[in-house]
Amino acid sequence: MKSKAKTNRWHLMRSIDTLKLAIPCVFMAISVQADEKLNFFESRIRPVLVEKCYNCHSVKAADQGKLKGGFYIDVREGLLRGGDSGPAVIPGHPEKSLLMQVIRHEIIDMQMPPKKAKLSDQQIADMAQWIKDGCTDPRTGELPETEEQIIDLEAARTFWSFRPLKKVTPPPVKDTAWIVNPIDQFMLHELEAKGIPFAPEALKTTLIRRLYMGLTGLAPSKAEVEVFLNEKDPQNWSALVEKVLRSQRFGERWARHWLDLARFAESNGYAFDKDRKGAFHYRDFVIKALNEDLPYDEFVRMQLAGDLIDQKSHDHVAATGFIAAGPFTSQQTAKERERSRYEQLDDLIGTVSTAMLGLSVACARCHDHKFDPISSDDYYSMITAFGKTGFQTVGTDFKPEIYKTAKEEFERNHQPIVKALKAYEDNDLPKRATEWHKEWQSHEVDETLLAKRQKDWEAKHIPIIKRSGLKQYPIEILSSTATGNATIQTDSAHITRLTGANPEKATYTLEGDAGPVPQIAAIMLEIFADEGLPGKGPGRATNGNFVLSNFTVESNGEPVKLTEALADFSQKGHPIAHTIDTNKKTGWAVSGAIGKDHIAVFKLEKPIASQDAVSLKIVMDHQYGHRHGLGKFRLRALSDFPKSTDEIKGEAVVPQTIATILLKDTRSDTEAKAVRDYYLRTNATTPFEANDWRHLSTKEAIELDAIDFAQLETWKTVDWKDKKDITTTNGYAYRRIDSTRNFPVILTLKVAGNVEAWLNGESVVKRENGNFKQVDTRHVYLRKGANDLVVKLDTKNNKPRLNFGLKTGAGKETLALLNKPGLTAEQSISLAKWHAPYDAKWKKLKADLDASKAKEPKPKLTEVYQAKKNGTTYGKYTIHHLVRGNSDVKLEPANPGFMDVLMRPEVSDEKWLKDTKEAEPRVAFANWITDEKEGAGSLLARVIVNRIWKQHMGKGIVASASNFGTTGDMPTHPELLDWLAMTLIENDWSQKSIHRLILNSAVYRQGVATSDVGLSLDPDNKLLWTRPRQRIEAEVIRDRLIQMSGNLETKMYGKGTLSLTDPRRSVYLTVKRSKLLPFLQLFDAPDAIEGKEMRNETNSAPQSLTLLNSKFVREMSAKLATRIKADSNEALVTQLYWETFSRTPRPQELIYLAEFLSRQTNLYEGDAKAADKAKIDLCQLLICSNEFVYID
Amino acid sequence: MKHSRRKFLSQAGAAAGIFATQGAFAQNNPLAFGTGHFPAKAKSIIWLHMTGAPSQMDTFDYKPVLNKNHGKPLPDADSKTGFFTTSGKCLASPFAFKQYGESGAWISDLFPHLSNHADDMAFIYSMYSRSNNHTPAMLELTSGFFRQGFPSIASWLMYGLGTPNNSLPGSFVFHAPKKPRGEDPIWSTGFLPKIFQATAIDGGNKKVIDNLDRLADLNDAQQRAQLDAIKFLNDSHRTERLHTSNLEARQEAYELAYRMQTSAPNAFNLNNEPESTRKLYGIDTKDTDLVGRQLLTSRRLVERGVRFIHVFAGTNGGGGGVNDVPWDGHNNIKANHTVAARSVDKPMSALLADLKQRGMLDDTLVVWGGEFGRTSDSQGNGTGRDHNPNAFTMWFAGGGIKGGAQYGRTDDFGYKAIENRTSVHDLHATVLHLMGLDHEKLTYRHNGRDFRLTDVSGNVIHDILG
Repeated sequence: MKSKAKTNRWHLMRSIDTLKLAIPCVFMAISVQADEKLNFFESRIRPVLVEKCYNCHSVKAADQGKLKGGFYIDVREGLLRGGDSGPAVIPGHPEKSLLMQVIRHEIIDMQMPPKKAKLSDQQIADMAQWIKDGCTDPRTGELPETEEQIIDLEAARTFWSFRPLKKVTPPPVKDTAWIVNPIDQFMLHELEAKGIPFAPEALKTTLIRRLYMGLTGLAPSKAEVEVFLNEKDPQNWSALVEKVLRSQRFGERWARHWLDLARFAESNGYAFDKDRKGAFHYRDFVIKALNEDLPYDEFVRMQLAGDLIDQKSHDHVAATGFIAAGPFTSQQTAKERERSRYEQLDDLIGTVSTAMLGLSVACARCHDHKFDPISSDDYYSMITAFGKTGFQTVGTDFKPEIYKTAKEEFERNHQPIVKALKAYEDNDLPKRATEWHKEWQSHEVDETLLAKRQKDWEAKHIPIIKRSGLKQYPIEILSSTATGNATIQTDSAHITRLTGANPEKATYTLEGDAGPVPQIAAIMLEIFADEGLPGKGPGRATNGNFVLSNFTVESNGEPVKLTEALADFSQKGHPIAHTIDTNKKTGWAVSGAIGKDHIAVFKLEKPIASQDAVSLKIVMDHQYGHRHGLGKFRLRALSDFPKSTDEIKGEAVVPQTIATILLKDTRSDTEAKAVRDYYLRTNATTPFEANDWRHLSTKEAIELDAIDFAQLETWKTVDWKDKKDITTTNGYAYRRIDSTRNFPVILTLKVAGNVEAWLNGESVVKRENGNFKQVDTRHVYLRKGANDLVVKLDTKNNKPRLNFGLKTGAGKETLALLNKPGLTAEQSISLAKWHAPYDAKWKKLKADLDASKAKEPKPKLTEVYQAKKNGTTYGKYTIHHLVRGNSDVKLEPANPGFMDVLMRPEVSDEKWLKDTKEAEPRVAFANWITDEKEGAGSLLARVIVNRIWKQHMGKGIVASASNFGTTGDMPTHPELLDWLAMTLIENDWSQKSIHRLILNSAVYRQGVATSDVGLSLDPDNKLLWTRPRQRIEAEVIRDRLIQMSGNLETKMYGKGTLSLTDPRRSVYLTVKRSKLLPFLQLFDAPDAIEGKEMRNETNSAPQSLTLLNSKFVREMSAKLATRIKADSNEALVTQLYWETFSRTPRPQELIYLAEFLSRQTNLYEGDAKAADKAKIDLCQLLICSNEFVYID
Repeated sequence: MKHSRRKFLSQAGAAAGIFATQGAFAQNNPLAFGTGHFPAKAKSIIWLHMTGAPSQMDTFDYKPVLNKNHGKPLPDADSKTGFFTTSGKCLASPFAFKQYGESGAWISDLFPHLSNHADDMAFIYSMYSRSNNHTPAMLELTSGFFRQGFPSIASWLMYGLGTPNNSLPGSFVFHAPKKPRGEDPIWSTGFLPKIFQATAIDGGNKKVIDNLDRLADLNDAQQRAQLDAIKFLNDSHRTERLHTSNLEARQEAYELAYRMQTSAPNAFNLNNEPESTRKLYGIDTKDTDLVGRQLLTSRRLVERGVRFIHVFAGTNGGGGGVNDVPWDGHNNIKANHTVAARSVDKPMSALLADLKQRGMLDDTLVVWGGEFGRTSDSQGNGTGRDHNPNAFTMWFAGGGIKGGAQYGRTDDFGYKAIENRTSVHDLHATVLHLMGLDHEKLTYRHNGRDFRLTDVSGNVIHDILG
């Protein structure tokens, strides 16, 4: 029964009857103007159709086998019915008509006409008009019968794989002695019909190796084999099966089979192949689920909707890694987004359907499945279930109760500490601050020191003020040119701007006049930030920087030598001096102070004086490349070359009034006070003096206790500055800080590694294993007079670096408060707040609080890559039906639903949808697929038991294990398949119950012997009358090599690595799509792009080269050789046979290989390690042999 | 019969004795030499992929109207055609065009050497692809699909034709030290068996084939003794077993591997070439050394029967290009293409001349192109071009091609292919046709469906065939 939830698009698209009903109405409506419209068709439409379309879309084309897309445009009905892509026109609606989209070239793959020029605008307009007017079309003619198949669900449900499961009775057999369990009855029944006997049971050594290799992918130890050989009880095989099924190694081996189907990988794939953090949890889930024998239906449900079923369960969330595992491009253009979204869904439904149902649904994206009863409607309904699903790494606390308990416990201890601090702050701190304030005010300032400071300050500034007589002369720019098509313009304010083309390299040439002038001693270049420049300039590089390679000056036609240059700022490695060297590859740049104005000044070797205008030509060269030219600047001539650019900045240094006083020989009291006030205002917040650092190297290192502070001053002085990174050697660094008074300051310290600092003998900073980014900040007091700071550096292996800073702890407002004699209550509180970090008691309480807070428990978040509702990358949730799967051509929205053929006829999608909230059709999907009574559960069970059978037996009951559809293989033993599927369900979907049955069966235990009767009657062994040998896969080869090397680590779960030599099992190797391990790939490991049901089994020369010549195989062989010790060649060969083949060598093998060892040793004659090398060669050749990779 | 060989192949692990008269390796060797559906015009292909997508209007598709309209609005411009946003203003080509040869093909001054071969080249000016993003577009050019997981054309050829030389891999990929954007999946075998995998060699040309060199521990005699012992064990293991052909094949793979150790390095040794040839290819000259080496090696491999060589070429000269997509001139098409073209022009010209002089051009197909074209309007700082899947140029030379042919047309601005629009499926259909394969018959059953390189469409472009 078709569900109501689904749309009837299928009918709309396919049913001609529906359209026929619609047509007469259209024609009636337009009959009044029929003649006119007919005329329009004949003159404007028909000729175009004939000329441009009939070649491929006509009855004639069909006759010639040239019909494209099943579409006829030469018959009216053909237009209306459309071809493979649905109706071509919807009369009256050009905007909805596919024909218009294709002739407008709106669909890239369906641009019509395909090989000829696009129709003219007029022709396209005519076509639209014609459709709008109702598609008047007098053409009659028969539409050829289509081959269209209408899916007959009733008939389809009778196909063997779609039938409900029924109870099957195992058939009778003659030779009951063989029968261990019903499997053997089914198998032998067929063989007896043909007259072929089972092959005799395999040797016990063969059986145990087969069992271990098959279930765990590792060989049994010699001891394990011997125990088994010595057991006489026939029941011991079942016991052994149970033992090996319980091994944790079982899940590791069998997870890999499922991961193949799940196209499991831990990165996005495509360009840049971003890693998916926490994707390995899915792999762990599969291993665990298999080991714990999680019921298969639950296993499937969790993988489809675990996050919605129980988002607090790690296993449920991790399980959704199945649907999340597909390759997915993270780099998309806007035009690709929608397409990508549908591709992701296509990958998802394709993987779900082939892995779980053995059906390839993805074909139905473009059209109803050609062979299987899967409609396009089924396809879009099913992807709709996943429409709101996104994939991402999410951190979740899966054990919140642990956090909750710990947090409660923490709060019990923590809250009293919080309260203690609060109480102190509320009650005591303001009082203490007031007391401190009084005391502070009573402290005397060291007037002598202060006077000295002021004197120094004046001495520094007076010359600058004197020089401020520096004259600037404008340079009148008469011509400016720039290379590389850049536009250069100088305005009336002499400012030059560069616009337009931004060449890779550029040279600006400016010519102009200055003066008449008394003297030009220097040229000044002012460069300006500007909103119009990238990064605000002043350069034209994308970040606003520039590189000025060379700056040259000519005067009156003669080159002028520049002897010195200075700038207010230079980027490290790009000093201004580089502009006047002759090296064009170096230059001046300002990264670090981009977006600001700057000044550079160039000193002329000889000043120019002139009564006339001085003609100047200035060339500014930018050779660094990458478009690093200057964007805005001004050139000026200067009367003198300044000592510092500060001089040019002029009055900013000192206000004119103060400058005037400073230049006086004597000053009045008022003037002296004015200067003192100004000095204090601008400098008094730094009561300390920035002495140079002094340093004691490690060579002279002495313990701090032994330091005589008085002697510290004699330490070698090095040029270190505040707030500059200093590179030094480990040891002690020392600094003397003179302060004019007691003063609260903030000390900052950055050191990598271990550091301890003492101020006046008291330890103020102590830290271990820090990094350089970590800043230690301490509130400390300087005392009046000299303060000694010693820093002990132990930066371990890092290059020692130190950064030290000192600043006053008080801002302007606080300083004002400090200097006020009395404070209001409010001001007291404000001051107390500021002073708190200097208060010993507060510091203690705060330290207690911080220490306690550091112990605060945090929820333990596990990051899992998973499915997440509403987490789509695209933010669009509606799924549309698409024309031919093309996301550019959308039809109406699709509703969630399931595959009709896999529902019992009497139920509809609603059965599963109604039980879940509207928003969670994914859960409904999971319930439908596992519903063995009315949903897809029967097929689900058939597919998985066949997979288990196939792994154990080498071939499936259905050979095409991922194709149970009509194009797949028919089951060789359909009743056995159904019996196994029923048994699975009856055993609560226990996969191990199926393993157990198969492994105990006589058919599994057959030897590899062939018989003439078998060979003649069933040469391909379809009926399994003998045991087919099985090739071990890439991962098993690698695991076995590591096992034999003696290095195998059995640590389970967790993040893996990309290393071939990692000692853990291969299932734990990280699967990164762009970095697949060549070793594994060579031996047919999957590339994780789409699910793989069966690996290829190739033999190639590169495989042989790898086994013969790769370092990895050789190393493993060498380790094996080292591990095995024996007295004789024979004993050695025997031991190695146990390691590689789990058996003793046959006599002729023993003789040959023992001799080989001797001969090979001789071939290494003269080599001290001849015997060792021969032994390694032997180990390696055993690994190369067929018996190593083929298991009987 | 080819047909049964392929049928046999598609049943992985099958071991029936279809080739009872041949050796076991040949029976079980899917790479065994075969012929196609009809006589082939070409035996081998050298596909020169200009990684990052060259601009059609700056290379071979001369557009004077575009040049005249520099800076003016581009008619019907869609600013979202490419990866970024374009200006909608015409960008004239900064390169000068001239006509060459009897065919009078227009070629820009980016290719001073190659232009001498104009009459050997057949152009398709009306290519289009379906993605405006590098990786999907590269996948489309190599596999016909813009998603990962589909076999590359190299794997399809290996599957369809095998290789006549069983001492060398049948197909190679040469790339610059950096792999092209999208990396290995671009030349993946997809759902075809891994045995059809092309061997990728980086631009350093150092690692020819993994594990080709014997380990330092062993000399030839010692390894030979080891191999003899393996044979002894395998012979003994094989007795009284069912369906032994895969066991025999595995044994023979060791012998083949042993032979490859000497034959493969020889194929790659360019020191065996005369100085004049090395010079012709631009070897030992900084700009052209890499591609020169790759193309001379390609010729040597083709001589030895290698079926397919995919060369991902072009030196990154900035202007928007980065190392994994060097031709990607988003910011400065002039700077970018000048450097990229310089790195390939001389070697490509040498390849054509060398093949011709040796009589090899007749059955070696050379294919040139990128993964899409570039926009006619400017991008970046006004001097670059963005991606444009709606139009690009490809050219062919050699095996079965009509030299001097010109097919298809873009509009006056080179913005969109408008006449004889040619899809990548058409391109692949044509290439397979030249190799003697019917693209509709070269199929592989996967997930219940017969897949093709050309999906469900594709027409052979007969107009460019000789």
